[in-house]
Amino acid sequence: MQRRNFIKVSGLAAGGLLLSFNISCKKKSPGRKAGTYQNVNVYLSINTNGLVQITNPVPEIGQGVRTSLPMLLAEELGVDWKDVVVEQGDANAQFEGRNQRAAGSNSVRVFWEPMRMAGAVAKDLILQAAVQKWGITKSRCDIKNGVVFNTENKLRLPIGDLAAAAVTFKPSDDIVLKKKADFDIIGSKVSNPDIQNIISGKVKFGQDVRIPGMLYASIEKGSTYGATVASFDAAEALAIKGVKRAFLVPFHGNQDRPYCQEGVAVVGESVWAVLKGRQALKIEWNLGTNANESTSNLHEICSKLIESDSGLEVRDDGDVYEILENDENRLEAIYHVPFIGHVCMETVNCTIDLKDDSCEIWSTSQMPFAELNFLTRFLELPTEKISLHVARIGGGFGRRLGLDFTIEAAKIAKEVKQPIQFFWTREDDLKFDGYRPFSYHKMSASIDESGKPIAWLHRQAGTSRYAFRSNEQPYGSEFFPNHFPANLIPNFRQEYSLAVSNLKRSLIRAPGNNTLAFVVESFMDELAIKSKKDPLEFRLEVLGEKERKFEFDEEDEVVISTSRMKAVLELAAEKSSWGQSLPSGRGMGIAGYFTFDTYIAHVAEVSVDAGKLKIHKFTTAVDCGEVLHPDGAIAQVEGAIIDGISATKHQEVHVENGQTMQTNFHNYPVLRMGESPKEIEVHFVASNGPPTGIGEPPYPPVAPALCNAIFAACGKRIRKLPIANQLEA
Amino acid sequence: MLTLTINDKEYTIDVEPDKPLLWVLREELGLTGAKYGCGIGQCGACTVHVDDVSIRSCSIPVSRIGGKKVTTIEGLTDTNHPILTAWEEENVPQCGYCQTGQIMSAFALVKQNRHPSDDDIDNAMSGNICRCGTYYRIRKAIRKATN
Repeated sequence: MQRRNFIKVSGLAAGGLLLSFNISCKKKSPGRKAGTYQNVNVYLSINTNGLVQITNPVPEIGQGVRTSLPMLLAEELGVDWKDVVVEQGDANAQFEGRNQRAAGSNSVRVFWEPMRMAGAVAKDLILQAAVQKWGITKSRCDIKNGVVFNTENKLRLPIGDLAAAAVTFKPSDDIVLKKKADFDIIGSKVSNPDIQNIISGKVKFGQDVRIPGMLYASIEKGSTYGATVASFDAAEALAIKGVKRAFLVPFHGNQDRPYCQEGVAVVGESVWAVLKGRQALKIEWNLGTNANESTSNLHEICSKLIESDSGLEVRDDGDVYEILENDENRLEAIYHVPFIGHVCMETVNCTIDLKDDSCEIWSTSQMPFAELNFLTRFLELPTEKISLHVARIGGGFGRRLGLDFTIEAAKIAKEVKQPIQFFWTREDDLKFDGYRPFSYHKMSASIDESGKPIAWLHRQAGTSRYAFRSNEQPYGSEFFPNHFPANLIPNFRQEYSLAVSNLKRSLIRAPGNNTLAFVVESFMDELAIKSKKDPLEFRLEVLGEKERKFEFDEEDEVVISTSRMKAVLELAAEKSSWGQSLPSGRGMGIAGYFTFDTYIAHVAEVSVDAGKLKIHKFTTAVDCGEVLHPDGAIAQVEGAIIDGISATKHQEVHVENGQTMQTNFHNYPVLRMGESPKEIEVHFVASNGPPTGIGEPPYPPVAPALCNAIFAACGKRIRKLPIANQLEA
Repeated sequence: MLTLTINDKEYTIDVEPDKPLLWVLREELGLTGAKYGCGIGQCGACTVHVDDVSIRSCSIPVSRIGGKKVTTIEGLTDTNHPILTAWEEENVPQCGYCQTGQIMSAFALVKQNRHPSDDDIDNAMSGNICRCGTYYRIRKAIRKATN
């Protein structure tokens, strides 16, 4: 184990090239001398003035990685958090390559060992330097609060004074990571290194990047997805003060399902000039083959598909049809989940300075390393000639896992040959986003005399996210065949039917899961009611008394455990005083779900009065293994609850004649403060296991907890999202 | 030529009169603390004060500011203000993009109402969208700063 770690991180000794972009501004350090930095490894540089610069490899999109990942290194090195300066890593193969991504709730999972090891290796090198300097035994030396001391004599030295000597040593082969009992920083509350710069408006997001000679650019696109330009006249646009250029940017990818939609770029001296220029363009459009697509068609198509027997079998245990057909009392319900958009607060943008033989980019991508690789090919430049900096990013939610806006920026940069900041407007963002897939679900189940479910049929029809991938079944991203209640109900079947559509869809916070949790955990509630059982007791019975573990994902060796799921359900129930009597019109709903190795249970408490919903409280239990930064993890849960309520109450994208009808926040409402719960309580299950995901897992079970609470409060079962005005009827 | 008073400093600039204040701040004056989020006054990311009242700078032409006093996040120089202290103690921001607008709205609230009720807070803050979902901590911070 230790040996493997050592080999894996042996490059950490090299004092490799430090590539980072200072978006945090240097920490104010009154009373400190400027000092000089000694680069120790790709994550770490130590200053003679006592400051320790830690480079965070993953883009910060609000998930708190600029705090949590540097904590790992600081812990092992033995420094005080107040001496840490966090730098943002450029795209760089040395950061574990493809995992330099804000995706899959994986940042802490991926860097839990490497960043601790980076700190441990640095400490080892510094101690070797101390041993040489002081002529004492290494086992008698240690580092605390950034100072090397020893138990043989009173000599002490700040690590900055030993850093230059340290990098001349080779790492020992007996480096051991700290034990949990010895943690000082991990598990504690530390300050956000960027807090001062955020609240004073100094922190630089992608749209705040300013470079000399920079122009702004944006693309006017057609109303339908896949529209192309028949002809255009830019004379009036070019007459606007500040507008410099206007030119065609051809579509990228497949014409009917373009990765980047065709349009006319306007380049100008200011955002305002570009926006006015876009309005002044005269463009004739070919609306393309998708002009007849609409969500009303999809409602019809999916309603039919879930009644047909032609669905692809995803999983089939026992004989579901035999039991359902012979059960006159079987429960059936149809659920629907709409298209929704990501609407990050900061619309996508990319600043790019392309020269003949080099390129510098200020990125807002969630996957800078993949972006760098793409640009290397697209710009035909060697990797070392491209510096890709990562700005602080105003929200991700999966939107920035697409490189569409990078490609558009690069195409414009090739044409303009001057630095540009390329941006999308909010209208572009809603109209040309890739949406969470649209789907219908027909659920059927039988309960035996004791009230236990014995048959479960889940038919899903929808616009699968991966339907265009030739090497995958369309259900691949929309069903998780080993997710509960698979393995818990003897006769269990899932079927998938693809609704053929070109409308653009992509992945959004806990993809697939955010749909399935709503459907499965709402229907589970319906079954509990039908069995005349308490929804919590019913779930616990389905999970069974004894611990059982089932294979969830063979490739990644993921298992799903009944006892860990039960533990979060029971903890959320206990902390919310589940079962207490509530006044009329008030109710509690529970839902538990497993995503990215993390178990979450929410209890929502709501009241419904004359059709008006008030969400009083969410009580949440979390099992995400070891909790690295509890305050940050709680923030992620709070945020996921707000985001989940937003999607459940409001969010829906309609398409008519190939055109997205939602254009901005006035017709695509998202949750506002007055609608958000006054109380949110988050509890963690004590765990010694390795940390698992936290950015996405709390999101999927919000919708069913909320809708189950609404049912408990007023007897109205929400089966179609969003809730919108359904309670008013 | 237009003369503006921003953060107690006078600027004389040559700018189109219909250009929204937001873009003047961000592009002409290098004050990038106010953000673009929607361009139609719906999200509050661009919130600044004009004569101590919160306004959406994306939707007001610069020519309408006249001689009024504009304050942006960069002009909140009292770093010990209870709102900023509470924001830090509650560790409110996640991505941080909307936060300058949220803080400007919170400042305007407490200037008018030293002890706002929860309803007052909701009313004052509901024009500011946060997609990371920091509402719970924003409310906590404002309560803390005003109790």
